[in-house]
Amino acid sequence: MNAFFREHKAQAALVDSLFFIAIISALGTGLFYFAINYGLSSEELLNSFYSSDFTTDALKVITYVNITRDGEIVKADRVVNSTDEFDYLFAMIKEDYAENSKKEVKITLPTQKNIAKTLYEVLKPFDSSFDYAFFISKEGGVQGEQNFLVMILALHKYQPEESDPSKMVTREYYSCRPKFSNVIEKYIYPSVGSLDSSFGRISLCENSGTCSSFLIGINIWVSKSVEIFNKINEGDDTEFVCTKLEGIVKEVN
Amino acid sequence: MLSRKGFIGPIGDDLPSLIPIVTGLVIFFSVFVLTLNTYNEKNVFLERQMDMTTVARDIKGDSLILNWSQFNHRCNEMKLRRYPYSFMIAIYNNEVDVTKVIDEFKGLYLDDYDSIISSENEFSFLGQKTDEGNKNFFCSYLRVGGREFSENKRQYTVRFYPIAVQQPIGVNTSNVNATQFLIVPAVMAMVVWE
Repeated sequence: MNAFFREHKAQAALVDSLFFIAIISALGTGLFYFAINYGLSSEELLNSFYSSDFTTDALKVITYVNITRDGEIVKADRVVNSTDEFDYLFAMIKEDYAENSKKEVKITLPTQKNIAKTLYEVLKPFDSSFDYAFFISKEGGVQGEQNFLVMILALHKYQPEESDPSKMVTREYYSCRPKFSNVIEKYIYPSVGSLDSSFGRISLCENSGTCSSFLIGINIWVSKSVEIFNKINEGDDTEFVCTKLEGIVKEVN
Repeated sequence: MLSRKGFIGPIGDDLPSLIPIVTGLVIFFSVFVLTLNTYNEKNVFLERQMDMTTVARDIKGDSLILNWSQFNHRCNEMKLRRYPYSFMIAIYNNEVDVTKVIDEFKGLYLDDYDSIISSENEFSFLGQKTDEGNKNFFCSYLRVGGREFSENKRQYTVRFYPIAVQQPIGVNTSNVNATQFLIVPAVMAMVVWE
């Protein structure tokens, strides 16, 4: 028996080494997996900080900038006329709400256009990359109840049949009156994958002095061609109930 | 003689088992070094991102810059913190083509006091008239021993933020030169590198 083991010593060592390489492979795979996945969640978190900062900044800037009563935004290197009257977008929204709080449309079309123009100017450098929705809604509105005071949707319209390449993608603005309060979560979020949002709270008062609290928010997402947007662009959607705001980009430029 | 049948030698006898052992060790140490490098690189990247977020938040404040002095004061406070990364921050008007900002940064050369000493391109930063003359909304910090951004061959991170800036705007009147302070939309661009 002893003589047998002495003769097969090398084969035992070979099996040991094969076990060794199996253990090393398992360890190597584990390390490789760790290297690939390390920091991904932290990176995602940091990116979400950036997205959150970006949307919050956008929402704040919309409320800060001065615009004329016609919705024109002053440029840094321009001269303005002494007759131009500058105001904040929210001053116009508050005026509209105070005057029309008993009517069905509380924010008038000129103010809706001013909101769209301000959105366009503030997010102009990123215009080719993003689509967005700005809204003011009743705070604590019941799900299913129509509770949007105003919703401005900015979408890219793809027109592949257009011969001029510069006109194949155009920026369109819509004023929407969705039937349900959760339309963004229900229709936009699943389609675009990632949605960056920022919200604030404002108080709007009626002429009688009764004030209500409203939620103001902006949702920004990477521009994509999805079914719901194509429906809105073609004017046959039933969820958002949108009306196209004409000439926003042309008027601003 | 019977017990020494097939014996080649002390090493020769173990040669078939040595090959997988050496291969295993080579594989293990290769993966170990790769993992260590990736770990370090990702840590550097995450720290750079963290610092960038902090610096950007502090410079922006409440997303509103009231004047150049305020911007410059915030910028100088940032420099005192001695970050382990270099950064450049510039504010542009809302007409800027964000895809060309990085080329403008690459064309800038800074002195020991983090001021621009030369540029390959015309500046397109937002400026403001102050008592000390025209000043640009530009802030830079070159860490001790750090290289210029133009010489940087390693990774960098760039970010853009919408921001509002209060600017003195000339008013067109028939007889007097009047100025009105209005808030305009702008973009803050920031690049961080090692």
